[in-house]
Amino acid sequence: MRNSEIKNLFTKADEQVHVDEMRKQKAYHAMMKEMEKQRIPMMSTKNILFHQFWYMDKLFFAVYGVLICLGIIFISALQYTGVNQNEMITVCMVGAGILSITSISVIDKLFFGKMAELGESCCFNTKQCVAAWLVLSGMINVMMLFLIAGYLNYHWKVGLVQVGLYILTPYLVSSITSLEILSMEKKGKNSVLFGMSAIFLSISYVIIGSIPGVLFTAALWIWGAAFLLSGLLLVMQIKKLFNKMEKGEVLCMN
Amino acid sequence: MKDSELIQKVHSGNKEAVGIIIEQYYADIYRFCLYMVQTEDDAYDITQETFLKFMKYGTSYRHNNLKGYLLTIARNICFNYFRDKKEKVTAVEWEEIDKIPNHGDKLAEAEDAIYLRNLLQELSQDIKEVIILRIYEEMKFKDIAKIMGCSVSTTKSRFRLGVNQLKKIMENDNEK
Repeated sequence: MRNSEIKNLFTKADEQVHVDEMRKQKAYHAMMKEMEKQRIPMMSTKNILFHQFWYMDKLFFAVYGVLICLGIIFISALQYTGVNQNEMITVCMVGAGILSITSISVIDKLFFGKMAELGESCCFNTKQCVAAWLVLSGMINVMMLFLIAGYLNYHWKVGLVQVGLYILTPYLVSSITSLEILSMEKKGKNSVLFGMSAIFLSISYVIIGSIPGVLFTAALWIWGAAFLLSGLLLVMQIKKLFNKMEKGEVLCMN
Repeated sequence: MKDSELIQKVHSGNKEAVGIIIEQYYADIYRFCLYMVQTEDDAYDITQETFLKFMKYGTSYRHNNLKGYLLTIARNICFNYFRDKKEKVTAVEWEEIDKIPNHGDKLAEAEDAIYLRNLLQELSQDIKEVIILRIYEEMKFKDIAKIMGCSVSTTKSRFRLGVNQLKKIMENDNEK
């Protein structure tokens, strides 16, 4: 049997297969309907974000910004009062910790500042909103930490690695604590915990900074170990928070 | 008009282009579906779904072979159909000849249509698909392989197997 014979069979069969014009028209109309549906104007992602940013309560952004400015002024003022190197490092450690706690506590406030409606727009879920803020605030914080590190390195002649460890370790520890509070938090009722943790951690950093020899080069390995450990814990903490968010246990607006 | 232009026009909301696509390809896709699923009603439904899917998801399609693209969609829907419904094993009844529009009393040709559908029914889905795409749609093995998501050599061997099977079935029928 040759292919042409099968082809011939198809050709003959084709002559008997007639297309129902009604069904063809039905398909055409279904396509037109689909086309109309697709032409309903949709707001672009950029516009949704822009409108949402415009709509949300920006008080906490202002507080965050003011806090950063106050920190800079406070450090500058301290310099003129004649503090020593170790005291200034301790102040910067406290500053880094407060910066971290503030930026994470803003996540809690964002959900009362109508940011969560982004999630309801079906374009972004809560996890994406939180992740977006963590990235944004993280970028601002890193910039601030760079400024502090640059200042300590330039003015107080502290090695960059040392400065990095002294600032980043308290920053990470504060982040872990804040994320833990956020994971426990139920509809913002425990917001006061953020304040308490900021005070408690600040006192802890002052105590750590005043331990003799803790800011010497010889103690750097302890700082390095603490930094690595807190980095690891932070990753685990973020994972835990996102898992809880996915289950709707925290930051759920429904 | 080139297929790429046609697709572009459809996705920019040109109603005329939709009409052209339906006129050009509806019959081909319908016949392909009919040979695949054997049931007219289901073939019409699958054909309509094929064109709807093209409207919904075809925005990213940039190539020049619209028929190939539509056949790929149709083929996937046919396979979903087989999976969901489990293919009926009963052959097309000879009594169905009466239901086929009989233009000019060409009873012999009507028999051919039923005979072909029964022949195809004997083949497995993969082999039937290659036979239809290669002989009926006159597609290259390379394109068939792309649609089926397998290698060219697999497509060729399925085709040879299909032709041999058809040959055997027809010889047996002739002996009867």
